[in-house]
Amino acid sequence: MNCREFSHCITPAVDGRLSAEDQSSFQEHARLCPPCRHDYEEERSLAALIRARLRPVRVPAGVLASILAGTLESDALRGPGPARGFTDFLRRPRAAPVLAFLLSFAAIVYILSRHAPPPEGVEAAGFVPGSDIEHQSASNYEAVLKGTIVPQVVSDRPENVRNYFEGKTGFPVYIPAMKECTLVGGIANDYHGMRLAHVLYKHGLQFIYLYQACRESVMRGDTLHLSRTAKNDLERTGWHCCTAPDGAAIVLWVRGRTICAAVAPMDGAHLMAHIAEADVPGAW
Amino acid sequence: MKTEASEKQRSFEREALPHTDLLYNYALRMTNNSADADDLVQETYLKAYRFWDTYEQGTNIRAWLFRILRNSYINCYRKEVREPDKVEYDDVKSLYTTRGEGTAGRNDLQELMFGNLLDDEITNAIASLPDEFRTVVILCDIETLTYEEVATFMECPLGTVRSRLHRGRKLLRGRLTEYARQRGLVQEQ
Repeated sequence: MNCREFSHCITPAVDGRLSAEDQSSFQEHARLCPPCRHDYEEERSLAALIRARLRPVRVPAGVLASILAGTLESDALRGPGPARGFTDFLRRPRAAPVLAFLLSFAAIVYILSRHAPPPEGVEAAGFVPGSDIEHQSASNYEAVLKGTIVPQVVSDRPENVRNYFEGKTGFPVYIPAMKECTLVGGIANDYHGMRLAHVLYKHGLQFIYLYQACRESVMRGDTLHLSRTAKNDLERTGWHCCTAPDGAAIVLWVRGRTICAAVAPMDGAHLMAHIAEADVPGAW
Repeated sequence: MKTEASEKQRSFEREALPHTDLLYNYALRMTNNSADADDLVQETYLKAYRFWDTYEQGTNIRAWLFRILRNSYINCYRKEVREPDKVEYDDVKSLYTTRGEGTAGRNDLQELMFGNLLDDEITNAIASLPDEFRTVVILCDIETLTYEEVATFMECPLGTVRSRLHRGRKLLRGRLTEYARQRGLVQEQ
């Protein structure tokens, strides 16, 4: 290898791209020719310097969120998204959980960044005094999609959200570990003296919203009440299922001193199965 | 209709979104400004989503995204257009003229000197490189892509990647030496 050939090999040598044969004649030349060796060492130390000092960074969550929001915007404006078959939904592989987490987080960060989080914001989000809990939960769910209901805490661990609700509601708030949900957020607020809990799960590209209130107070019809059908169903089977105006499923159930309403863009049976699976002691 | 839209969304998220870091780092080093990098990456992805049906499944998605970003960059951010093969020969020449004075001992000193440079100085030195050299240095040395992938990204032969990288590094070294001189980290020769 002469000096000219050596000079062509410097860059691949620095990057470990020489064949074994070239490598040995390269080394031989470097040993015998100090100026060439110097050139090689200069490039090697420079490449090492850049690699050591300018490490790649992660894309900011806000950028991901804007991308997500931008792409969702064109599609999501058409509606809350299609309900997917439950079996399909169960079969879905847990691919790239890190990415899923990042995206979900980004989506919520995006919502947070667009809307300051005063708890009063929830009250402004379509609460109609005296309306029943089914309608309330449907309109709250819409507010969630619009970003008017903003979680005050967001985490990938249900217990963090559980801690947030500690002492805020006067009734136990249930934060089941929902299958295939990557993030959970929560906000407590006060509505005409009634304590309410809003729990929000990021499930794929969709949200599952859980609205919770004091069972006794709802049964009495203090501020929120239950429709007669819902009341009958709950007493008879422990469940009530109906559909929101936009097609999302609403499932109502009672757990201890708490009444829960879940809303999600899937069909009722699937949402119910989803909840039943999570809503078992020990899952929390 | 809805199902189609959602399918599009899903395939886009699955295939295109895992590469945001790659594009972001490139955008950041090219614009040298995080707000511009944010905009550039967002714009790239929104364009990519709009033209998602023109992306040929199974082809190099990273190269496809990179080219969208690069076009946006050239249209909006690049201040001057320079021919990569006609630039800065003086820099290279002046470096070559010092060639031959080196010893191993002197190299150790140079490493010490560069060790004292600030990250900002290194960043600025990269930002000062002509576009094509900068691109190759960013992709190879910061993002650690292979020559083959860089060649695909830039649609050029492998040998071009290698020679641009070689010259890019040389220019960079020249700039850093200048900074080090200005800061008194190295004695005037």
